[in-house]
Amino acid sequence: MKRMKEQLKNLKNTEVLTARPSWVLENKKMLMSQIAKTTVETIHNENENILTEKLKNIAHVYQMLLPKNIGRTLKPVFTTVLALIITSGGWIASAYAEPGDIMWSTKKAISNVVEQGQLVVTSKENKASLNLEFASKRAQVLKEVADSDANINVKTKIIRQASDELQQKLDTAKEELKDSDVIKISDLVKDVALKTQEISSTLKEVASQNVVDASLSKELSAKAVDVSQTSLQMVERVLEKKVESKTAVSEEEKIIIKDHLATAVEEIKKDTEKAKEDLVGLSASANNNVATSESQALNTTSTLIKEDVSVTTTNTTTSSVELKTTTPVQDAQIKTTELTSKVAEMSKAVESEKTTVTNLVETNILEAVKKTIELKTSVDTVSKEVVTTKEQILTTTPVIPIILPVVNSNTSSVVTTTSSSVEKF
Amino acid sequence: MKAEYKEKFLVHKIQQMGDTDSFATLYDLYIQKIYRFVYMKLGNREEAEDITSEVFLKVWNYLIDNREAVINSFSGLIYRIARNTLIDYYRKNHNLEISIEEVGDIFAETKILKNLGDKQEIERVAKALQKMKREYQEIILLKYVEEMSTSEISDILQKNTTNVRVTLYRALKILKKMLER
Repeated sequence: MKRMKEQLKNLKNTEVLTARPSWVLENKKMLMSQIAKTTVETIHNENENILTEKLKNIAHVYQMLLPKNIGRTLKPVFTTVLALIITSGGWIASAYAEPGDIMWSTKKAISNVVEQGQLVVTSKENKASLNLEFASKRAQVLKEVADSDANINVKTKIIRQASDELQQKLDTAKEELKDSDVIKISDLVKDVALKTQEISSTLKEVASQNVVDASLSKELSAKAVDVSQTSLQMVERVLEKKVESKTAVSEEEKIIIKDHLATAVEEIKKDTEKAKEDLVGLSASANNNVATSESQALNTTSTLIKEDVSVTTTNTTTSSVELKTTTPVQDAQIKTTELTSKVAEMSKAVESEKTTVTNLVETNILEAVKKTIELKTSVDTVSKEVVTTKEQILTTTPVIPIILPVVNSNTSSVVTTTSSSVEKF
Repeated sequence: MKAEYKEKFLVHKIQQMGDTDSFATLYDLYIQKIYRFVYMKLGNREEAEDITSEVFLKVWNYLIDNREAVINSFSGLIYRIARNTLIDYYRKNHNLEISIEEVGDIFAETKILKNLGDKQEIERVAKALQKMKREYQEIILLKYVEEMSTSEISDILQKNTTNVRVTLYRALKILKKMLER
C-alpha cells in the first residue's frame, strides 16, 4: 500500500502530466489580455458612493479573514483584534492606492518594510527565492503603473525606481544562489525560468507602450535583455551547484530548462534578425550620406585644386602633395560594412550553435546553458554596436570633407593657401 | 503570511478591484495542478490545455460576477469549476472519453522519472486509475497526487470529511485489488 501511495505521489512528476512552460506563459498572456477587458467594464460599473464601497470592502475582508469554524463567543475577540490591526496600520487604505495617489508612497513603504521583515526571518538558503519573488513583484508594479492613469512624470519616476529595484533584487537573487541549499534549488529552477521570462517580457511590453520618456523606454528594453542574460546565468549557477553536490537533474527540471533554452535561442535568433534589418537600413542611409558628402566634396576639391595650381606655379619648392580624407560619414560607412560582416558571421554561428545546444541538452545540460550564454553575450554585444552605430548615423548629417594636403616642412605657402581656400568655401 | 490568507486576500482584490495581478499570482500557483487534474481525465494535451484555460477564465468571471460572495477556499472553487467544466465537456463529447488502451499508450510513450521505478508498474497504476469510477479516481488524485488534506477534498467534492475518508478507503482498496490482479 505504501509503495502504491508513493507511486501515485510521483505520478505528477511525469513529463506528460506537466504543462509545457511555453504554453503556461502564452496562455497567461492570452488570459490576461482577455480579462483586462473585463476589468475596464468593472471599473466603469463601480458604485458612485465611494464610502459605501469602502465599507463593503472592509466587511468583505472581515468575512474572508474570519476563520470558518470560529465559535460565537470568539467572534467579538476576533473582531477586536482585527479592528486594532486595521486602525493601527492603516494598510487597508493604502492597499487600494493607485500610482500618483497620496497613499501610494505609504503602500510602497509598507511593502518595503514587509519585504525587509521577510528577509530578516528567512533563512539564508531561501533568500534567493524570496528576492526573485520581490523582483517579480516589481515587474507587476511596472505593468500596473504603465497601465494606470497617472501622468507621464509620475509614471516615469515610479517606473524608473521600480525597474532599478527590480534589477537590484535580481542581482541579489543571483548572488544569493551561492548560499542556497541544493534541495531548495530544485524549486528555484522553475521559479528562475518562469519568473525571469515573465519579468523580461513585462519590461519589453512596458518599453513598447511608450508611456514614459524615450530614454527610459530604451533603458527598459536594455534591462529586458539583461534580465534574459541574468536568467540564464542563474540557471547555470543552479546546475553548477547540482553538479558540485552530485545531485541529478530531474526530468521536470530538464523539461523546464529545455523550454527555457529554446525560448532563449529563439530570442537570440530574433535579435540577430533585428540586427540584420537595422543594418540594411543603416547601409542605405550611410551610402546616401556618403553620396551627398562626396558630391559636395567634389565641388570643394575642384575649388581647392584650382587655387593650389596657382600656388604651385609660383612656388616650385613643393615636392609632393598627398590627399588625406577623414569624415564621420565615411567612418560610419566603414563601421556599417564591418558590422554587416560581423552580423552575417553571427547569424551563421547562431544557426550552428542552435543545433549544438539542442544536442547538448540531451547529453550535458550545463554545457548547453553555457553555450547559450556565450551565444547570447556575443549577439548582445553586436546588437548594441549596431544600435550605437545607428544612432551615430542618424545624428550625423552629411558634412563636407576637409581635405588637407600633407606637404613637406618647406612648403608653408601651400598650407596657408589651402586653409584660406577652405575658409573661402 | 499563511498561504491560505494570502490566497484569500488575492481573491478579495480580484472581487473588489478586478485586480489582474492577483489573478496572475493565483494562475501561477494553480496552473500545473489544474492542468494535471484535467489531463488525467482527458489524456490529450491539446484538449487539456484548452479546458485548463477555460477553467481559469470561468474562475475569473465567477469572481467578477459574484463580488459579494465570500470565498473561503480558492482551491475548492477552482477544482469545483474544473470538475464542472469537465462534466460539461463529457456531456458534449461523450464519444471522446479516453479508452483504457489509450491510457496505457500515453504513459508508455512518455519518459518517466527514474525514481518512479519500473515503467510498467507506472503504466499499470495509471491504467488502473483510469478504469476506476470517476468518484474514486478524483479522490485518489486529490489525496495522493495533489497531496490535499481531507478537509480540502471535502470542500472540493462538497462532501463531509467522514464521507471523504470512507470513499478514499474504498478507492484505495479497489485500486490495490486491481493492481494485484
